[in-house]
Amino acid sequence: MTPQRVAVASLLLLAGCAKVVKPGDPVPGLTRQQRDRFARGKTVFDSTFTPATGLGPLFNATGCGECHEDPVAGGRGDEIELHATAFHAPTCDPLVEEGGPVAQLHTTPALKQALGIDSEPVPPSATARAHRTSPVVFGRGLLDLVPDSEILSYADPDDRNHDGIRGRPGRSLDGRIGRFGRKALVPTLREFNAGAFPTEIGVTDPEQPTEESIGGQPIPPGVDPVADPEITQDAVDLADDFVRFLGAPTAAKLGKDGRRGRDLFSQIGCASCHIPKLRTGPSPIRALARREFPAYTDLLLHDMGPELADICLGIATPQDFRTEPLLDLRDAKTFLHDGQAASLEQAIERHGGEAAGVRDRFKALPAADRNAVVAFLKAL
Amino acid sequence: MHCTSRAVALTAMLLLPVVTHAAVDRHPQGAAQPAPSYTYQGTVRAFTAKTGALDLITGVGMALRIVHVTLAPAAHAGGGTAARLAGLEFKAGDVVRVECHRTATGLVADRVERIEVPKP
Repeated sequence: MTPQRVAVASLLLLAGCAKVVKPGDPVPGLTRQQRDRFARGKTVFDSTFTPATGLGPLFNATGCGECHEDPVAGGRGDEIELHATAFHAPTCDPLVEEGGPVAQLHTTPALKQALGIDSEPVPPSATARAHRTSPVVFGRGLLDLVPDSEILSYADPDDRNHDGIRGRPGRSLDGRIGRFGRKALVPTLREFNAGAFPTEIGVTDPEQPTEESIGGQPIPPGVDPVADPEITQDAVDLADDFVRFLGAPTAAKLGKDGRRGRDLFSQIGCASCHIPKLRTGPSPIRALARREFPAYTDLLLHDMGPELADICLGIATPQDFRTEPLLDLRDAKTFLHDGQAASLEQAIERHGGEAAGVRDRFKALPAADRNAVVAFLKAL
Repeated sequence: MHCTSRAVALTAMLLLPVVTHAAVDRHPQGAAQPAPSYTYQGTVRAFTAKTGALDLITGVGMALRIVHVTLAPAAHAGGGTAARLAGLEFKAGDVVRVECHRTATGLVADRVERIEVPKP
């Protein structure tokens, strides 16, 4: 065999051996120590809390894994949360003094006995309510490392290219660029994860050591006896590492229809916001640093029109939503932020506002082409 | 008129740390240790200029909390500081950084800085 043939054969072998990331797999290339933390973090993620270990008194779930479970830990869930805020243009009030934007759906037995409530009351000052599904958290460690400069490079708030698509970055309460949450309020994965313990499980942690109020009222004495913080920094760090190291699933091999759908996805403009690949910046975690990965998002806020409008949050108006990363759609059973679309076609057809033109182009496609787009999406 | 008020406010913000540090410097050697300082950066929910009451929304992820801060009344920060702070105005939605210390009545600001959030 000539040296040239050896080189070609080696390249083909490498290409064939490119690591396929399945839902729930860690990103390839972690060190042994990082893989160990991934495994230990999954244990924290899958653990179930009780009132004796800090659960509640308000909560949406008894553990991370209750809502992020399908098809594996880190996947989506069938729970639908209730959020509420007040929009007084141009400002948004997250109603923190009335219990905050997340109205938890469950109470511990002690709180129920004390106040006779099964869930947190929706703040009376709310001007809108919203339903929220539990998304997959795959690939979030990669999204966390997309540089601000790359996100800003996709923004076009004045629509200077006249394509009808604007896009602006969300902002955290302290002014940083937001990446996480349907309204792009949260700037880092670390904060999203550390905030999820008190918000979703009612478990205070060292980074947010105070319980939220009960609809604005203090927690009745004796209802929440576990001392704050109710979980250790080590446990938060491990859970954070588990989520951070979850890879972005590799798309399934595309057939002829899927390849046609992938081309159409770009041609009709879906890829203007659902940008297929993003690249991470530097990181001390080599497996995450400077990696191109499937993202299908620009992480920007877009006006999606009045029909999808629900709550405001941060600088996001009721009509603004952050472009959802399209990851692991193969396992999705419902679609959109509220789970109200029963199929991908319905989800596309509910796009409005800045996406109205793309939606109309999709609807104008021949049936075979629409099916091809759907076939492509179902491979993600 | 509006520009004048703005200039006064900005000047107050710039001078405030100088004034505060000057006040600290006047304490005699060997006096009690200064109270630990806290820094919060968040979005203004409400501000009452008359009382200096500032409600700030901060958060870790979606776990949002309100921080109540009083903008250095004369009793704590000296008349000069209070006078300068009187020119400050904040509105809901402003992003600010507040350095403060805890007193028996709550958090009292030593320095307030409005953060300009860049437009894309």
